[in-house]
Amino acid sequence: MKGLLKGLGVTFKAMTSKKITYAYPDVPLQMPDRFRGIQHFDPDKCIVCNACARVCPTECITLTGKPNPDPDKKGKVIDTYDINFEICILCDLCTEVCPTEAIVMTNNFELATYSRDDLYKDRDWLNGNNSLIRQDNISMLPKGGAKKDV
Amino acid sequence: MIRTEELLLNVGPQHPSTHGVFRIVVKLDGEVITEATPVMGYLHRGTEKLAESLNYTQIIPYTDRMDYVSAMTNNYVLVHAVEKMMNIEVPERAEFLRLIVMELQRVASHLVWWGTYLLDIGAMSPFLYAFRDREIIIDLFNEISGARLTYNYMRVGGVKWDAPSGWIDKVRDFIPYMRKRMDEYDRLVSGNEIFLARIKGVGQYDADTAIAYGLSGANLRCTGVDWDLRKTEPYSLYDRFEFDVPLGQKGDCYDRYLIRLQEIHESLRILEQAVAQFPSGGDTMGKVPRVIRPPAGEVYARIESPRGEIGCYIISKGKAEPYRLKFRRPSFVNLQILPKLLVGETMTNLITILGGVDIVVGEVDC
Amino acid sequence: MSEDNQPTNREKPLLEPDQEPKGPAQAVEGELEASTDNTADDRNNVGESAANEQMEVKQSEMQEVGVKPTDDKGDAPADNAQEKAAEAEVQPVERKGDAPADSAQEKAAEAEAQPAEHKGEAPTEAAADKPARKPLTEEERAARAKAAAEAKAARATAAEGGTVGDSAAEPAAATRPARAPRAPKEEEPEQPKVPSPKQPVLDRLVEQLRADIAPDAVEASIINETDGHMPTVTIKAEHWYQTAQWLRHNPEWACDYLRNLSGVDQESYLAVVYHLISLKTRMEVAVHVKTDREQPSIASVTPIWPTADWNERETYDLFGIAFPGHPNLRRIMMSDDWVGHPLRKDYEQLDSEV
Repeated sequence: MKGLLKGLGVTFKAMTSKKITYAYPDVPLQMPDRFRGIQHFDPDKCIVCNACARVCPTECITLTGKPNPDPDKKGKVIDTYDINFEICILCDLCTEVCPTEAIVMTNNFELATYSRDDLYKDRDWLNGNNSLIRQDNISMLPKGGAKKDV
Repeated sequence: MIRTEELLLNVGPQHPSTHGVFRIVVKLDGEVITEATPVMGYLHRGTEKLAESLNYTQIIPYTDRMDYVSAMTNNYVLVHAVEKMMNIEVPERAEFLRLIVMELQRVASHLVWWGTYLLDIGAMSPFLYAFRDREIIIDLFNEISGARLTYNYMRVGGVKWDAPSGWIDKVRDFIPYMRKRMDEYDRLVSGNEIFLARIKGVGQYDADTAIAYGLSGANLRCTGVDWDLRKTEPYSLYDRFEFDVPLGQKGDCYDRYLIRLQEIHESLRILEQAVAQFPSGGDTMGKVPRVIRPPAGEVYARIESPRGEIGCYIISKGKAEPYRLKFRRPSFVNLQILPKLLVGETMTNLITILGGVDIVVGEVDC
Repeated sequence: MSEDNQPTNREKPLLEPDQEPKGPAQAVEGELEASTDNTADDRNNVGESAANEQMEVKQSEMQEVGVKPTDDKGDAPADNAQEKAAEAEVQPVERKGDAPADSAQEKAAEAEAQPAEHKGEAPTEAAADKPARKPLTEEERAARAKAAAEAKAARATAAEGGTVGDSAAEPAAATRPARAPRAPKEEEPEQPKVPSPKQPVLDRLVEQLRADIAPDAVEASIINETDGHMPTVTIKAEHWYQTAQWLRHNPEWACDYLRNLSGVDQESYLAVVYHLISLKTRMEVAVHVKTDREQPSIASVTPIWPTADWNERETYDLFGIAFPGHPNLRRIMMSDDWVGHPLRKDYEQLDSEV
């Protein structure tokens, strides 16, 4: 009997302690900066190197490029860029390899819709998804450059 | 004279207490089990086959999803195997970060186990308390790797990100908080008479059975066999830290319960020492060639995950993808003792024993 | 070259000849280049600095001249070259440490990548004086295409690398592409192979097995140095059960813990690999048992180590290897009415678009 009473004491004490429930979705959840949410794509920075499409473990990125419309400049410009969010696992490898930080992640994660077709996001939607962009992207840092903050 | 027939009961794939999509077909005589057959494969996702067409960094997100409750150790076993094959040296700071997250992961995984085990047995509050404390750890992981469950944090040769500023202090503050909580859990559960009556003496086996069945982790140590890979085959920096390995004597569910709680204490001890010895500078990534192409050969790397010995057997033919990648999953091997243990037990003890083995079906099926 | 508005996926060429990606090379990206399946013709000059240290890659030298060995090219005619390269790569790494290993690795990668033609070229180095990229000439492309064709033909005949060029130093592992010692290339330093500390253990085991079981029981034996010098033996399938019993009950070996049992599909045969350890004496050994593809069958060790039960079921399910003596051999991961064995290399998926 004694063990039961001791346990009950713990429970009663917890009744009076601070509540830890988040009031989501009424109150939006604040994610830390490094959170891997839905990607943001900046077409101007993309050089169509295809690194993101190749590294994607689930092959959810498809992209096409076209030659630069400006006749003086060389290289390609991105034409279409689609991410299939049915299979994107938000693993962040695409942002890790992008040499120009054209694709970065944001802290948004709400993507639930009623129809699967809506999960196939194109370039303009990804460009428009520009709130809460993550500051801490890894591509431009040389490997091995640690933040010696701690 | 009441005639009883044998009843075939499906502890079906959808069941809150089977810890995943897992099915046990039990033959019952009244309430006593005469035969139990586990059926698995509902969560088989073909990780090993997929791995043959992906290079090693791309496989890391897949390992997260095998044992999703303890993803850092899964990450580590893969990168450790590749580093062994290529003889890559990991810088000290990266190794410290890896060790800290692995031990935090061990605490988090044991908290999940504790909460869900008691929930299966019938107690509702410990589940909420355990998840409240696990939330702190998950937030720490969120800050360092960007995700709450599937971290994709380790890379061959180091870790992906360095700890953000203030992170180590948060870990340092977490340790005394967790110790206080552990006292609370002890008061809540460990003396509870109902709980003790349900758990003591249930699911007992001896050391020879455990070794013969290839059990590992707490399932092996509850019988008194002193086999913890962090001590017997030290990897990472575990040989620098002082910690004990809790052992049981009787080999029943109660011993497994006490061992896992004690392992949380030991993990906190390791964390304390690691945070105190944390290097103030250093790289997070070693010297890794741009293309990770291990030389032809094979390696079997094994580490101690919260569930037991997780192993990664890689056969490489010198390409960027593995030729054969096999994961030795502890839950899969530990589960083999279930049909043997369940014969003669009552239905209620089935859940107790199954919870005591601590399986994660993502790992059972791979 | 790439056409306009065509979906670029993994098979398409990656960069225009005159375009340079602007950021530092990343390890992941480097991996991608190695793992794409392009033929030699399609690839233009997306270089691969195979062994450059991460620390030294600067922004400007992201793309070095290197040749990306394709899967079908880099292999077989260069099976030799690759094995030697792997050998060169691993041995110096083991003995000397990082810095010389890089040059050996570079040389190895270089040799690996350019089997016949460009052997004498300067290895790619992280030096700033190397030109950013060198487009391949037509003759180089033709030569590479020819090498690719040769590679395909050679690979169809050869079992896998490792059977070629075994020297007599140790009974080479014909079973796996292990690092069988072979005649060193001219670039490699002439150093005798340092014998492993576990070699006497292995020799004693082989001797005992040959005496106690059968003279031909042990097909091959080698020390797997990458794996902590684990003694590795290959046992003939018909003697496996006896050997397993011997390993279990022998007072010195007493391997009571079967750690891992996995099936392997080497293209010309199937094999099962067992990792055993003794918890008391800490002796460990890895055993390979080969069997053929048509009617694969290996004696089940479930009576000896009950932990092999589900592992063997999994191997049966995914590879098709039968284990006579197993109490309950049926499928475990796939559903009971599944046809085919998924982990085999020649397995065809039912729905290949997925």
